[in-house]
Amino acid sequence: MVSMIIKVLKNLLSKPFTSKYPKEKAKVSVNFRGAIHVDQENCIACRLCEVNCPTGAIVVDTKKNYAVVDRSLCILCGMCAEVCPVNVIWFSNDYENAEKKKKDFRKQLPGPNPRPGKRS
Amino acid sequence: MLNVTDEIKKMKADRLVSITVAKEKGKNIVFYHLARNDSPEILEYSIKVPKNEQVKSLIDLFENAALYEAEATELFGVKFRGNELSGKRLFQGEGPPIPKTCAFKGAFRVTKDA
Amino acid sequence: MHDKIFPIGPQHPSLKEPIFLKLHVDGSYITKAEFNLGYAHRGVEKCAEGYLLDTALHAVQRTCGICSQCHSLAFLNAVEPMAGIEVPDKVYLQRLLSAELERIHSHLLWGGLMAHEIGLETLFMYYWREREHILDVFDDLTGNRVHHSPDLIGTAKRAFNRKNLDFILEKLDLIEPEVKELKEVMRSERVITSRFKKHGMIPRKMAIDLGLVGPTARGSGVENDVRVHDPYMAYAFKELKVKPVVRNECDSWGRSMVRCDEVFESIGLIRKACEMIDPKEDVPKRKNVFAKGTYGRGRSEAPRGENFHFVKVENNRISRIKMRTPTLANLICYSRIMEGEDITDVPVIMMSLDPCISCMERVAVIRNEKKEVWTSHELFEGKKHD
Repeated sequence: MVSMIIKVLKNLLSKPFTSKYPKEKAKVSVNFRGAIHVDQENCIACRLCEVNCPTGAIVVDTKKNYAVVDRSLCILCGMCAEVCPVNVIWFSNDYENAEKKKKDFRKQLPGPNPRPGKRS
Repeated sequence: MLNVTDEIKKMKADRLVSITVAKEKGKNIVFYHLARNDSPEILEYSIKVPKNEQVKSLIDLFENAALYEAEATELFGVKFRGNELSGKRLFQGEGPPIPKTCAFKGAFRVTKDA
Repeated sequence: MHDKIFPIGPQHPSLKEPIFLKLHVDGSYITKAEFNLGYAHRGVEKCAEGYLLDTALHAVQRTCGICSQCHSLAFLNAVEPMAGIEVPDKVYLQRLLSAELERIHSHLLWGGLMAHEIGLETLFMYYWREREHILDVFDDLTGNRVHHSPDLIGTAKRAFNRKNLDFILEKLDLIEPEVKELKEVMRSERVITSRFKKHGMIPRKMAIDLGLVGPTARGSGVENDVRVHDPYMAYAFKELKVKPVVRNECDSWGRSMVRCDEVFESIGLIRKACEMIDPKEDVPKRKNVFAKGTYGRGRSEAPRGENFHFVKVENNRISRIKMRTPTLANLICYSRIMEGEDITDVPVIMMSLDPCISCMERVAVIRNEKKEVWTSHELFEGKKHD
């Protein structure tokens, strides 16, 4: 009982543990899987990612010859990045991915990887 | 009616782990899994059930067989005699009724364009 | 003698899980209790059918948010012996780290919800503040806070290095003294113990006859733990033996103390495992596996009890999977222990049994204002039988 009273007084006089979200951004680690990017120039259209996707989100466009992701179906599991033989799929830290219309999820995010060789 | 209680009594198990049903070429097979307290193995016993046959329930030996048999009846149609829960809809049996002025009408298909 | 029905419905401000309890009451004492389920069914067993083994693993991991790693380990225990591959020691130790960290996170979540049921909101916030440190550790190790999925068949997605292990030990040193104080509050405050002691009694004979599992059975004197009787993966190493926590009071207080003590046992296991991992070694690259044989069985110890998976494989794809979760095994005792209790004791008893209803399933199709229930037999053929 006494230790709880000391704890409550300490918490009353210190900074709150929660952060005020829109002004201070939340901190995530370097490995966080936030959004999926495909480097379109180096894709060889082998379709291994299409075979292994659990939801059918990544599809190879046969006219343009690279892979295209439907971001509303993607569950960010990382299977496509594991099986890709040329390592063109990578994940970025960006966790603010909401859109207003359903067809905006078919737009692709920028392709080139700022840390070549690392997947996420 | 198929009787499995004698074979299962011979195994001398301490508790029942699970009862599942799987299909092989269109026919139902019932699997019983049991465990003993002092050994690390899982014991298994399986039996093929043709259509329109009933199986005697295991409720006299193990009381928790009631729920597993009720789930097997509702998913696959295998009936167990002696279990009063089996055959009644256990899950969603008598919940609160849907009101007449329901906002959704018609059947839903979940597709990629929905 | 009056007999009225008092519903504690699927949506209720006090219960955190969608279960419909129908209580027959006389005044405010309960004479009979029944329950109804099926409000959160998603058909996970059907979703995993027809996929290759690695892809089906990703569907199985997303069954539950709180206990996602234990489903992954039970599935790997069923499938890896069928594929016949050798798994190195470092991968086993990494899987043990994730499983024990998940046990700590689940018990801290339980502690917060238990305090919320009694009405002590500040204690709820204190428990969940300690839980935030564990979620930061998961973010650093695996890449996500919930649904972390670090496993592949035979290997792992990345290897832990020196910085990851130092971060784990630093966070454990932060939370250990705080959790000791919170356990002392739950053990000795009169406001809390007068609601726990002598309510929700499960005698030892009932726990053995009904085959209960997990902390529900360990609070009644039955020593029942998969990590002790059938050690799998890294629990079979000599240095990492688990000592099960068993208590003999058969009421809600005994079960709560079992959960509080298991947190300290897990902290000890994590510290020993961190010394045994070699941080410079790398994990093997992913290879395609082929499963021989048809049926596989595997089990693991979830935070709530024994989890059992039964798998049927055809042509290297999954054709039937059955997941018997620990909440389904304990469901048979819910209606028996409520008889004779007061209505106001129901939230505390329900929370001391720790249900996780999102791991249990059913199918319901709503069509034309009438409610219909389709069996999976009828779904296979596409039309309804009469």
